[in-house]
Amino acid sequence: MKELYRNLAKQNLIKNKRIYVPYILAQVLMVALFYNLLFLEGNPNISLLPGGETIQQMLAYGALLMSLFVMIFLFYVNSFLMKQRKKEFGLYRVLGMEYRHLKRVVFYETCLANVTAFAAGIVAGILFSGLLYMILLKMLGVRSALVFGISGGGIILSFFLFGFLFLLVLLYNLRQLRRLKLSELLQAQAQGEREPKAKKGLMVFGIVNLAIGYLIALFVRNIFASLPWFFVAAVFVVIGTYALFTAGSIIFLKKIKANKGQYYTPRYFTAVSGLLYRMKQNAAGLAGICVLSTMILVTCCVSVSVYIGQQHAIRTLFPADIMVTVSGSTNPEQDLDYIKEQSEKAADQIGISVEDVKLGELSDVDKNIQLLEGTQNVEITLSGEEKEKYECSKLLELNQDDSSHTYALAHFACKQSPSDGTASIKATYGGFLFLGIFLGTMFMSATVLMMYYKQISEGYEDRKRYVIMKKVGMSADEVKESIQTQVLLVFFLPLAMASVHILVALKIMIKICGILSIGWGTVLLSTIGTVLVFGAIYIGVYRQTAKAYYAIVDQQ
Amino acid sequence: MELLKVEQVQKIYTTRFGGNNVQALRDITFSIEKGEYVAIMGESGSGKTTLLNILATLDQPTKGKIALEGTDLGRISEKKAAKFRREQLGFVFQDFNLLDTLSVKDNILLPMVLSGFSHKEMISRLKPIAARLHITELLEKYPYEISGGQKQRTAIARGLIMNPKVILADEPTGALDSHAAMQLLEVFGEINQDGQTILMVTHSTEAASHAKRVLFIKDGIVYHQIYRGDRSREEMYQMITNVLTAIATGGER
Ligand SMILES: Nc1ncnc2c1ncn2[C@@H]1O[C@H](COP(=O)(O)OP(=O)(O)OP(=O)(O)O)[C@@H](O)[C@H]1O
Ligand SMILES: [Mg+2]
Repeated sequence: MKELYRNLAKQNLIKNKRIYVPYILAQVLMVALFYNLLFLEGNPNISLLPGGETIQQMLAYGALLMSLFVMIFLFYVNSFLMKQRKKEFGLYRVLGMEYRHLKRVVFYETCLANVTAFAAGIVAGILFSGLLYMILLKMLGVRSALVFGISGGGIILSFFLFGFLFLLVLLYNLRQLRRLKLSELLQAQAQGEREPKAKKGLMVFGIVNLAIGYLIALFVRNIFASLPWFFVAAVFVVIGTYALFTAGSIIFLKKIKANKGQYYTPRYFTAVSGLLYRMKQNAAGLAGICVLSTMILVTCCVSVSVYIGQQHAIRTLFPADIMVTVSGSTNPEQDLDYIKEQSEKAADQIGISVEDVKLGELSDVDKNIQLLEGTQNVEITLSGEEKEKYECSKLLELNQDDSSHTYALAHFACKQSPSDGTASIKATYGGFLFLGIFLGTMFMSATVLMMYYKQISEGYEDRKRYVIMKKVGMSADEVKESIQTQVLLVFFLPLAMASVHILVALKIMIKICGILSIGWGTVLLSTIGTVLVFGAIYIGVYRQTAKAYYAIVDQQ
Repeated sequence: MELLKVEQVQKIYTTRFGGNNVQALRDITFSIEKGEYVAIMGESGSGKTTLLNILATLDQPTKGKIALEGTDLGRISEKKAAKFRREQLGFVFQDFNLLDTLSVKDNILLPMVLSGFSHKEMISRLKPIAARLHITELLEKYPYEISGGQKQRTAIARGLIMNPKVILADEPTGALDSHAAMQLLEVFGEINQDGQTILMVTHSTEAASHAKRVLFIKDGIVYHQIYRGDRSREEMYQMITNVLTAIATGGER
């Protein structure tokens, strides 16, 4: 008996491969990404790097964020799959399967799909971990060899996350099966064909939310408060987007429909009625695509700006290769000479030369800290490799004791050696970019998956309509044109909305980047670049998924 | 007056991967006068749907000629065929073929909208047709909210709204219970009385006995035909049964 259920489960998955393969692939990718996040987060080699702890902390936050997202997203996709298959389950019931039989089939199906995905994900994760390790180090500005390692902790934690998700999904699926009555199972698809209602209240609610979110984003003053506000604004915008997509689109279409002279024309008739139906089915999915696109754009814009702005930030924060802070100095000229002498000695030992030693300005941070009287910054510029400069600074630091003997009143402190300084900056900024790309990949794959499912589910629905319209007297071209307009409109609505969101978010992004000493020009440019690249990818994905759509629609 | 002329039509389906060719129609010739009510009968797989699809310009014959009031249907482009279908022909299908996204009213108006009529004109044509088919109360409903018989009457209204030269019906009673089927046949009878030409493919002897003429298709040709003339419906029913038995037992014409 067991065999039978297992075989049936396997066959079901194969039969539904059009919807299950993408689901499993997405899960494999999520598992692999999650494992790698944990792998890098716990990697001892990275924590030894300069600034390594900062980056690992960022990765830990990333892992937390990702686990939240993965749970919500994969759960949503699973519920979509179940909805698509309601009719199939109904048929099984009609053919004489009882709930307890069906329960076992679904149990095996869920196990098979999720266990396969998890195993494949871990294997893929391990295979790619070396590569990701190298990429991360490169972004941190450290050269390294390909290393191979397995993180037991990473596997266990991934297991817990996806195991928990699996249990949730399983419970949900079984509950869905039990809750449905036979008649409903068979009619599941006809249910969606009711004319959608115009929910004015929801639309107003959406507009209000969106307005609040936008206002917060536009009028937050305090730079340091902007980060938490950013999330508050994001929550409002997400809610607003959902409400607006679900209610706004339908109200708009109904308005056109109410205008008889306009509605009853070839141009609007099929398109408006089709769109009404489509928006009802897909508004939530579209809002999801819009929100995801916005997330991708924000993540990538910030990461890219941070990465591009890195050099500039290093220069403003560390104008020289070595900075020496002298406190309690009574004779700056004498100190300067002394430091010059010391640094030349150190440089000689390493085999490089000193280019310039001068008194520098005090930074804002220095001014804020209550400093001793007579504090001076001395900036030393060296020629040579980063590594040599780094060694030179270490030597200088060693000589510090010496100097305090000679100049009793002056304390030399090698405030931050150049490599330490730039390394920690590079770690933060490179880490930002890495995490950005990481999360961007995740959001992107989620977006692609949602687009794909949207196309597939619509394809099956549209096929019937396509045939009828042809019979009733539309030419193939007319039908295709009408459908294409609808599909295109529906597809690019989220992108357009996401672009508006980004425009509003730009201000807050500039502020956040300002904390990291990145100019607004850089942010603006990288935003434009990111939006263009993303738009291109979006169109590419649309084209690919549209192929799947037309393959279904054109089926004989 | 001769309305539809079908001459030596042949249809061969070629399977995609070079498999066996199926000869659905071998040599079909017949013609239909204006105002006639013709039923086409034949065993399952004898090519009835194929013939109807060809008449509807949804498919092209491999050989032969079809003309509606002298217009050669084999020679018009796909685009013109769509317009032709919309304006000259009315369809009634076994599975109704209503768009689930449109209300009953909009389903009926679809061909008029596509042809660019004004809304006023649409309503003035819709009213009498809806009344005659007893669907006036249903106009604002959606297809999933109405019964099979009501759906079929909606489909007939859509078929009639353009004042087509001929109504083509494929198994219109196929998905209906006997009561709804009776109602439908009555409607067909009435509209035929008003001068509407009807060509109906059917399996049901009952349905065919309403027609004024019945064509029997077998082995891809018109095997036999009978006229109702002055006979009563019961007599017609009996005659059809006799022919069908003869065909089934391989008897003479
Ligand atoms: N698209 C097609 N490709 C290949 N063969 C086809 C195609 N459509 C129909 N046929 C074949 O042509 C023959 C006639 O089919 P058709 O559908 O016209 O029969 P029918 O008389 O309408 O049958 P029924 O009463 O069952 O509806 C059948 O043998 C069928 O298998
Ligand atoms: Mg047929």
